[in-house]
Order: sequence, then structure tokens, then C-alpha cells
Amino acid sequence: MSGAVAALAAALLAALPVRAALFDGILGAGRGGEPSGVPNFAAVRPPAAWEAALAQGNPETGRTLYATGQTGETGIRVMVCQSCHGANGVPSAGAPMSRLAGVSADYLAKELFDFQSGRRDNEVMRQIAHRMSPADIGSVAVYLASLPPAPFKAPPASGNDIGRRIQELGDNARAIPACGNCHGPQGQATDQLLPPLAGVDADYLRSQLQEWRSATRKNDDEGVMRAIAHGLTDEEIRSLANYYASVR
Amino acid sequence: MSTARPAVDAVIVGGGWTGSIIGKELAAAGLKVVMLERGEARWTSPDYQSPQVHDELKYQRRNHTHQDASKETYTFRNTVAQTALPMRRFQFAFPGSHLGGSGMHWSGALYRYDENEFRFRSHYTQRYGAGILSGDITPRDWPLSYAELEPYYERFERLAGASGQAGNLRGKLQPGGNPFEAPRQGPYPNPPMRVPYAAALFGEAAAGMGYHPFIQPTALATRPYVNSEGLPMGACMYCGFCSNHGCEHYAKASPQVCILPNAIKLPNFELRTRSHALRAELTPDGRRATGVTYVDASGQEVFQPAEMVFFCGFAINNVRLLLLSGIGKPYDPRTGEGTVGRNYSHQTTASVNLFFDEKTTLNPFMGAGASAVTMDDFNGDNFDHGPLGFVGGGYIQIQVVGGAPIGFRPAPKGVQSWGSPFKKAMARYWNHAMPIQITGASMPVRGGGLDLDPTYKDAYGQKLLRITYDFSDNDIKQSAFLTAKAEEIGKRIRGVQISEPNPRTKPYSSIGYQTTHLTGGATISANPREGVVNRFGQSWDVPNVFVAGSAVFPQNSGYNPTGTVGAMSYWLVDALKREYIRNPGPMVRL
Repeated sequence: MSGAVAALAAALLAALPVRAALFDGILGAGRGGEPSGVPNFAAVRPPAAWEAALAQGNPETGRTLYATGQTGETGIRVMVCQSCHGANGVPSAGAPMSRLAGVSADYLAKELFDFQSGRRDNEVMRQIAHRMSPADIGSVAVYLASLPPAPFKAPPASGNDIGRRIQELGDNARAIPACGNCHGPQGQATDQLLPPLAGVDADYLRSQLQEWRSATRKNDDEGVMRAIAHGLTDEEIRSLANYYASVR
Repeated sequence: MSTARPAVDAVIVGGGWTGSIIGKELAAAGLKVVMLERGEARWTSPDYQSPQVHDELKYQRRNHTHQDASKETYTFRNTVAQTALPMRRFQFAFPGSHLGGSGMHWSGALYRYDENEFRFRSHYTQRYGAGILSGDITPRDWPLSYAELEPYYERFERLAGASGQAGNLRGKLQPGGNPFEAPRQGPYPNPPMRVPYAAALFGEAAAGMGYHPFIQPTALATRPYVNSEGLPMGACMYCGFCSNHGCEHYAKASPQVCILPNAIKLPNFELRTRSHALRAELTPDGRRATGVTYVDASGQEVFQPAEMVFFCGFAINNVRLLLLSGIGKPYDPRTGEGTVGRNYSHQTTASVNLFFDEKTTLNPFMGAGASAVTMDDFNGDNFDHGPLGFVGGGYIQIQVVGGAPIGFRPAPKGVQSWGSPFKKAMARYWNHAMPIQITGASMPVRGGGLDLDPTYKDAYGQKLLRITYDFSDNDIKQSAFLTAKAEEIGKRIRGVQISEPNPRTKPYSSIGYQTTHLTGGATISANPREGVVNRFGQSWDVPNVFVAGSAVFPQNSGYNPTGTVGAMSYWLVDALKREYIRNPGPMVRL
């Protein structure tokens, strides 16, 4: 096993919670009511906190919160979202922030809960999310999801070739799938639980890829992003970030 | 007149699972190995990435990963009384081609056979009396046991990143798994698949009737995983474009994901693609193979001399290679003489189409090749066959594979298949229909088999393989029984409004897809009278020729074969390392 892959294997084992019994004890009942050993296929997973929050979301409340920091709870204000993330959810060019406009409400709500719980580690966002109720989170998420994304511009025909190749084709030697498989061609994803990358600020994307690579960020399903980023070199991360930033 | 290459220790025909495992292990043991793959070299990146890989027309209809029927096909007839005709288009099964073979385009359902399967004839005879094996079926015992193969099943599972919940660990039943499975020494490497909604509904109904549904084990990694070769795999994304497609996420186990990168790194392993093997060449006395003749990419015939020859092509294509090479005595169904081509079978599949109310939204597009809730209560000999009069069984499941629009067009019987009523039915049922699938054992019949067609030839001028096969009454009875059981479950599934049973009927037809699990023709046996290869897969007739894959199976079971195919490959290569390489010759002496 090569050194890099051995390191990946060790990182996976350390970072991922090993699922104990699959159903964590949710077994069905036998005829006499005793545990039958058969999984309870009728069990309905309770909605994740962010799913429940979306159900309470009100886009008007969300618009107010985003522009003024005023939460639904009288007297509780947070840092004004738009001062960093830009009016209309599109940060100004060069601001190392994530774009929020037109991003899936599910993804935005999940990330806010992850900031709140510390599952995603960012002190500024943690302080902000900490002061938001589930209804606040749901409201700002549905508001931002309703905004038109920044206009899409095709990336220039050349330049950022390394990043372009990885996002289009991946890399066979390291079993890295093309970013575009999930994040969409040129990063224009419409999936619910992952962000579009088209037009994302280069510094922001570089920081996130580095955090995935070092497993500092670890709120991805099954550790997929951690495993993918694990094999990326600094040069590739830079080129990917520049490529996606050029799609704006 | 062929050009000859420098001699090697082992020449392997076929770049699929068996060839890749055997080739890599022999090369790692120091042998000089050449692998001949007739198709192209294709790798996950760049060849199987999105969006192009989600092309249903290319992969599921236009056979991008399959054998090219216009160059090499099979002829088919039900009985010797008929004249076999060529299949112009593969519908009954999808023989694989290109690097990885069927092991690349497969769907990833991963099973071990149970203990009784390996002593099939003895077991049924002991429990029910010989009369239960009806006259025309010819199943046999394997000359090895589950216990001997168990460590090799585990090796293949660790290679493939198998995902599942153990049901029987060293004899102790485990909650959440399959209580009928043969005992495992260890758990699966990865947790089980997520459960699609339709499959959960099936599990709920089956459990409510006292059955033991469980999540089907697969070779689709459920999380990033580094396999036993140190090669990374990704997590399955349930993208709905699994069967017949390449997997863009490195999640579906395949030779090129799981082992070939390590084979290719070895300086004494050489992969030659676009190299179509014609036959093995033998010494004049016919007792030893000298190598393989193949046609290279430029159309030139080349002879590859080798000390050992491995037939690792698709399933029954290995039988054709034996016949074209003149190895062993061809089977004649009329006289019952000979062994090569005997005991061919397919699989006995059936279904119950279910149509749900409009409230029950199933989202069929969120599927993976093998994401299913399944049950073995009627598989193997897990139930009393005494009053039923047939042998074998099958699994009953709902498997959600995908909803790609050319192939997935559910409509109840009686809806006309064109025009406005058809479109209305598609709109009504596309998100509210799912079949229960039944995959049953398949018995070989005395009057069936594989041989060389007297009339039709392939693009290289060689006789096509002729398939003579019809279902036995045994299999038809088995299918009727299983389908009735499945229909009972189907009627109890929440939301079901209509259930349509489709048990298998005679005659066997080659124009409907069943499975790609073709078995037999080069069967494994305890002695040379009954079969073609010994317990390791070594030819009884030509001891430096080896056959791998499902051609060696004496009958087909009610399970998918690839787990056993992979295990048998490691089993063979261990025997070679232990005995043959130091001391070439027959490894089983009678």
C-alpha cells in the first residue's frame, strides 16, 4: 500500500464513526412481541433538525434577518449576514465568503445547524448560528434559496487546466471522481445537499478544500469530501479554486 | 501464419474478475504473466465520468460495455430437435467485454452460496429421497465444501469492499442480518446499503408475515474504503445508472478499481487489450497446451507461448475456448457422452409487478444496482420441499435500481403500449410502481448443453457457441411456488392497488432479459468422467489449462454468482502457489 493511501486509510478509520449495529437497536418485533432480529423496515427516520426547521421557514422573515440581523426573537440580533455575504446573497468580488444566493435551502439550513453544533468548525459562524432559532435558520435558508444565483459565465477556454481536468474527469490513480459528477458541469449543481461551485470565491474554496483535506471540516456524509480531498496537492487545490472562481 | 511472442509463464484470456485476480496474484508471486483482453482499456477516469456515463441509450441499449454481437454471438435452440439460430442482439443476458468484463458492468449483488449448495445432490437425496430430483435434471455435488471456500469468500469481500450486515458470525445468529446465511468468520468490511422506500415497504410487509427480510449485501462500497489491495474506493451515490454502466464514483467494485492498478505496476505483468484470443494451442499428443493464438489490434494473428493457460473470459465463452482448442470430449445430449458443454443453465427469474396509489411516491431514480431488501425464507433448502416436488429455491426482493426512461415504463396489463393511453399510464405510474423480483435456482437438463454450431461462425471465422436449453419442469414448479409467495407479500404492501404475478413459463426464451448469470459447460467434478475440471479448476485432460468463472458451476443457485466466482479465483491461485508452481502436473490424483 503506498504511503499516501496508507495515510488515507488511517485517516478514514480514525475520523469516521464505525457504525455499530446497523439499526442501533431498531429491530422489529416477532409475533410474540419479542425482538425478532429482523430490521424494523417500518421505522421512519425522524426528520433531521434542519428538515424540521425548513418546514417553519418564512422567506419574509428570512429577508429581514439577512439584511438587518434581526432574528425572530425580540432583542436578539446577529451580525448582519449581508455585510459579509453581500446584498442579494452574492459576495462582492474578492470577498472570501461563500455565495448563498440560489443555493439549496436544505444545504444552507444543514450548514447553519452544523455551525451551531460545532459539527462544522468556524468560530464566527458558530456565534451567529448559536443565536438563531430553528425557525430563523429555516427562514433565512428558504429566503436565500429563492434568490437568483449570480449570472453564469462560461469559464475561459484555457487556463486552470489542472483544475479543469479534475473537475471534468477526476484522477484515476487516486480514485478521485470528477467534481462535476456531483457538483454539476462547471459547478452548476442543483442538488439539495451539496453546494454549487460556479463562481465561488477562490480563497474561500481553497480554504474549504484544505479543511476537507486535513479533515478539519468533517460535516460531509460518509466522509466523501474528506476522502476526495485527501489526495489533492496544493497546486491542484489552487487550480480548482481558480477554475471555479472563473465561472462567474 | 502467426508471429510468436517471447514465452511467458502464464497467459490469461480475459480481463475480468477472474483473470485480474489470478493474473495479479501470479505476477506478485514472481511469474511472468500476459493478460489478453479482447476489448478496449477503459478506466473509471476518464471513461466513466458524468454526465456522459448517465447515457441510458449508450450503455443499456447499445451495449457499450457488452460483447459485440455483430462479431461474436451465440446460436440458440430449446431442444436438439430444433435448428439453432444466431442471436442478432443480446437480450437474454449481457456477456461483458472491454477491460473489467462483466465484472465492470455488473450490478454488485454479492452473495456467498450456502453450505447445502456445495452438496446439492447429496443433501436433497438424504433429506427427501432421490425421487425429488426429477428425471431430466442433472445437478451435482461440488468437490469442495463451503467451509473450505469460506476464507476465500472473505478475501474477495475485502477486495470488493463488500457492504452488508452479517447474519451468522461463527454459528451465532446476528440481528439485522440474514439468518439463513452460511456461517461467516468475520463481519462485512462496510455497513449495509441505505434502504430505498419501495424496498422498505417490502421489508415491512415481509416481516409482518413472519419472514426474515434483510438488506442485500453488495459490492457497492457504502463509504470511502481502502481495500485489501490498498486501493481506494468511493461511496455509492445511488445514482440510478449502475447496471451496464461504469461507476463514476469508484464505488462499484470492478477489476479496474479494485486490483488491476496494482497488477499493472508489476514489471512482470503485461496487459494487452484489443487482443482477441482464438484458442489454446496443444502439443501433437493433445496432452499439453503450448500457448494461445490471438488476433491483435491490427488484425494480425499472434502466438503467445506460455507454460500455463487460463481461460478467464465471460462464463460460457470459456467453454467455447475449450471446444475450439480441442480440449476434452464434447458433450452430446443425444447420447449423454462427453463432458465439455454439459450442465449448462441460466437462472429462473420471475416477478410480481406492483402498482401503487398516487400518495405512495417511490422515487425509482434513487437506486443502485443492488440496493434491495431481500429474503431467503424460500431460497436453498430453507423450507420443506417434501410436498412440493421440486428442488432449489430463490430470493424474493424489491430492488431499486433506477428509473431511466427508456427501460422503466411501468403500466398495468391491458394498457395499450402506444399513444395517449400509454402516456397517461406512464404519467400515472412512473413514480408509483415497482416489481418484486424473484431470482431462482436453475437446474441443468440432460437434453441441454453447449457445443459448436455446425453452420454459423464469428467474425474471425470460428464456429459460434450453440446453446441448447429449456427449463426443466422442476424450475417451472419452483417459479410458480416462489411467485405465489411473492404475490402474497405484494398484496400486503402498503399502498399497493394492483399486483400482477409473472411466473416463469416454458419454453425458455432468449429474447427477454433474465440475468447475466450463465453457468456450467466446464463443470467442476471429483473425477474426469463427470466433469471438465478438478476441484481447483484445472483441466482433467490438459493439466496446464485452467478454467475460471461460472462455467465450472455444476448448476446455478438462487443467488448471484460473482461472490463465488471471486472466491474460486483466489482458491485456484492459492492452490497454484502451494502446489502447481513448484510441481507442475495434475493437482488431483485419483
